[in-house]
Amino acid sequence: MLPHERSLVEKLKDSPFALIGVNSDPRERLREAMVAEKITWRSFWDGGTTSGPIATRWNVRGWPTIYILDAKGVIRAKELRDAAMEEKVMELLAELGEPPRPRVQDGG
Amino acid sequence: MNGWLLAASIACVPGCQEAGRSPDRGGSATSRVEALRKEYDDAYEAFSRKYQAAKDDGERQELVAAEYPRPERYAPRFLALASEAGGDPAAIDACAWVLQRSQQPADKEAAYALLLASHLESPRLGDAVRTISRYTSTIAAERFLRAAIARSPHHDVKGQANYALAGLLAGLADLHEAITGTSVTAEQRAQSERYFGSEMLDELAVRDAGEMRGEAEDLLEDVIADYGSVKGARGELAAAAAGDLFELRELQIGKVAPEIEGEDVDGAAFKLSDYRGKVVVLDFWGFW
Repeated sequence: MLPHERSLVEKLKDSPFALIGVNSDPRERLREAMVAEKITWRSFWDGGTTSGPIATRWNVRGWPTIYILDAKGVIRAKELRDAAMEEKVMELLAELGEPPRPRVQDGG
Repeated sequence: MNGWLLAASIACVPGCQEAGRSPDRGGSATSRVEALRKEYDDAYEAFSRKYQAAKDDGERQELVAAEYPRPERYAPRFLALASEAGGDPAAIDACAWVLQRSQQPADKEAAYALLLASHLESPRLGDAVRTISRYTSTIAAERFLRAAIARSPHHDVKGQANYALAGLLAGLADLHEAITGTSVTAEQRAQSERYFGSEMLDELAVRDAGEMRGEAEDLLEDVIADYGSVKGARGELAAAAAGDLFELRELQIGKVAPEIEGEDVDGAAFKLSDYRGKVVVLDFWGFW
């Protein structure tokens, strides 16, 4: 999951794409993890608990939970991981007229 | 990956052996069910200790193949105890154990048949009802819940069954889309068949996902109105049902994602809608 996300964010750094997290770790744990795991994308910090306000409102019961939104903010897919997630993201970028790009390597 | 697919992917552990049979006899129905449960727990505990001590993946794989206590090996014995127990509520415990752990559709159907035959009016039926969630959605479970709603004289059991049925229908609707969608791979289909059986998938395929979601919404509204203070697996049903209703209504494919206003780890405020114009992957994550 994480290695693929890292590669995807790097590959699409000049595209209209954002990976946004909602993180339920304690604040210090999240800070350390972002450095150790080279996490460059932004996360909402959800109060340090899995029952934080955002996860509660979004009725999240399992982690990770993934939603993929198009440029209009419409939910277009749920629960896709890794290669399937990337495929959907590329499909939505193509709707915006973005050129196709080679697939990132898993674990890259 | 959906919950049901996840469940399916961990369902099959290779190399099952017949569990050592000890006589499940003597004592009350409750004590026999308790003894069998302890036998399983001890076996699991012993396996778990060895697994954690294993040196590498190869050794772990061998251990799983040789010693993992597959619930499916114990299910027939729990079912036999439940059957012998007749109307004794210990049978509900035995059935609930099977429903919670066995991945075999036939085991679950046998458990539902026993519950339907002898326990629909039991005040303890909720112990079986609460094992059902959207990730264990089956048509056999649906039949059981509909019978429980119709026949149970107990307010809390009815509430739990209404809530469980709503989750189950939402799960069936998701599963319906997953098996009838155009992008379903042969491997996904095979996985679903292993977990649910092809008969159930065929029966489900001709139903209407929108109708099932609509009924789920109605049921959740009933739960909030009539059974809000009944205790469920995650606290009072009113709060759980409100969360599920929000998800069914607002967090579906095709809906504009609800706004999120929050702060990042350094306390800087931002909003989900700041990213309009971009394709967004929203990832609920954590290390803990």
